[in-house]
Amino acid sequence: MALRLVIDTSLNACGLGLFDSETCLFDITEGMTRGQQERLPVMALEAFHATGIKARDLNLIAVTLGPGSFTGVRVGLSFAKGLATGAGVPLKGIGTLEALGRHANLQDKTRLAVVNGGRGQIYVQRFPLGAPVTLDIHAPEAITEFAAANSVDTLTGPAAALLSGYWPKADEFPQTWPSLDAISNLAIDAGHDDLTPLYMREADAIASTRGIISLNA
Amino acid sequence: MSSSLTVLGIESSCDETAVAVVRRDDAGTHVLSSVIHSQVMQHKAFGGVVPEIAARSHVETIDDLARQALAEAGDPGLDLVAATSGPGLIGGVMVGLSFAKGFALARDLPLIGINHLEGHALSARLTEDVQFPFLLLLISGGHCQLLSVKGVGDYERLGTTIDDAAGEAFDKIAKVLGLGYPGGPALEACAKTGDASRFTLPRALLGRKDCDFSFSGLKTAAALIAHAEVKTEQDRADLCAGVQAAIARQLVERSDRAMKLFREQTTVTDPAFVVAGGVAANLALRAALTATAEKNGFVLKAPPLKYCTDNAAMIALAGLEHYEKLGKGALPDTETGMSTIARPRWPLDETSAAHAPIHKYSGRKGAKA
Repeated sequence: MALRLVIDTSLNACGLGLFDSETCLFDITEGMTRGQQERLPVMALEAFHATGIKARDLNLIAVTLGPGSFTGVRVGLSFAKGLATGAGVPLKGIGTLEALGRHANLQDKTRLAVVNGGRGQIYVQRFPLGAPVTLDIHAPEAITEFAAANSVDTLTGPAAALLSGYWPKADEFPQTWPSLDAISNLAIDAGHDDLTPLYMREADAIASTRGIISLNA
Repeated sequence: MSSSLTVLGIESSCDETAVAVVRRDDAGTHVLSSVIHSQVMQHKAFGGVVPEIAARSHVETIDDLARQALAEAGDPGLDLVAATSGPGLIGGVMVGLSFAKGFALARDLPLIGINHLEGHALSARLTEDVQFPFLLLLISGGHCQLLSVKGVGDYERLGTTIDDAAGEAFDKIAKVLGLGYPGGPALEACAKTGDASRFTLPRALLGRKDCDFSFSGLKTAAALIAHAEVKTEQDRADLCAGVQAAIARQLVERSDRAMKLFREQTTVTDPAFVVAGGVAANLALRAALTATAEKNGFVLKAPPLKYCTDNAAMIALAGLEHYEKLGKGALPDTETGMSTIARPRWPLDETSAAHAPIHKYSGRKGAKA
């Protein structure tokens, strides 16, 4: 038995799946931009009821770490940490771009997973063997240079269309959010022990001394 | 028959991540563990709490803190999980609440979402058998309220701030004066050598006879004086003393009114006047409030500082008191617990909050607390 619970709330969805080795025992995914905090735990409860499996029966929990929605990532990760701590089950983190790139239909292709980070930032990762990279939509020369150095057969992920002009020969494989199956497979051989979310951007905060008086020396 | 209840509490509504285990048995209430990770150093550079930085820190520390709290408590059997579900910085509240849901589901325990203010309201009962009803003054960086605490789940808000909390005024005025963050304690220290009568500061809401507070005008006035007139250490000390006296005066005036109102509602002899929240650590304020309490026949009680500021023991206690009141059979079922919403705005006394003329709306546009 290799029972795994996988969770993804990093993009505009709330998804949860229970796997036994390669077999999916239960899966549910609903598109939503908010509300995962209320929905995800109920999905987990439904999964446990439907399968008769209990949290402490699990061998592994896997959760996506982003990049994506900051709040979505935190909700999924916090809930997964609570489950893992409560049940004494190991927890692995999975990059959202890695999960998009791991889709079963894409394994024989070179592919680029693309997520829109907002504010002109596009997060991409090329597979096989690429690392997460931030592209600036307002710097087309840099993207052209990146495209020349990183040829791909397929663009995938929710923001693939934003970059299709830079890889005219590549086809597009639509994925609005990662498949639970891909996350489950990654958890076996490529899950991360470091559970720090992949925000890809610093928090909005500027240290300032404006308005602070200084006394005479 | 002996009874014992053990509760895991989780708090993450501002800049403290906290987990605690509290037990009540025939011998009394025991805090088995109370661990707190303060984010002060992460926010210091910005002169205040940055919500996104707070949320990031909560999610990174919460599981280690939970394991630590459970280990320190001797990995006890638990009866309930209680987590702050509002009001507060929503990104942080969601982290603690989501973690609590996962933990409760894994252990097959009931979950109760706790109003952060209720935690503060009951915090004095962690260490002392404070009897209901009592009058509560909650003074922190985020809240400033007077509540008549009649029993568990039965609170009447007698007054609240219509703008900033007292602690916010302390911290932001201290920031302007170059005293760093959090500036409340630094301002108190600086005020010791100051002349409170030197600068004239505004008195808020003088025309009103209710128990509401207002501190935003004081913040502005102090900032204007700071820039125009504060040039030396002595100037700064004088302004600090003036600000502290102005805040104390307002707290005393409203508490005095609230005590009279409380007296009209109840016939309790020697009722308790509980002062909770981080600002309760200020000794000058505490002395002024003690005198007010004595004048009105109240007994001032302040929880120890570690339970005055944000902590999870008070959240666990609030959950425990609800459990005792409801009985096991009436607790929310698992599905209800799992669907608990996180509320950035959640007045403890929704009726009073809805009646306040400045809060014509509910929900997102409604009263914060």
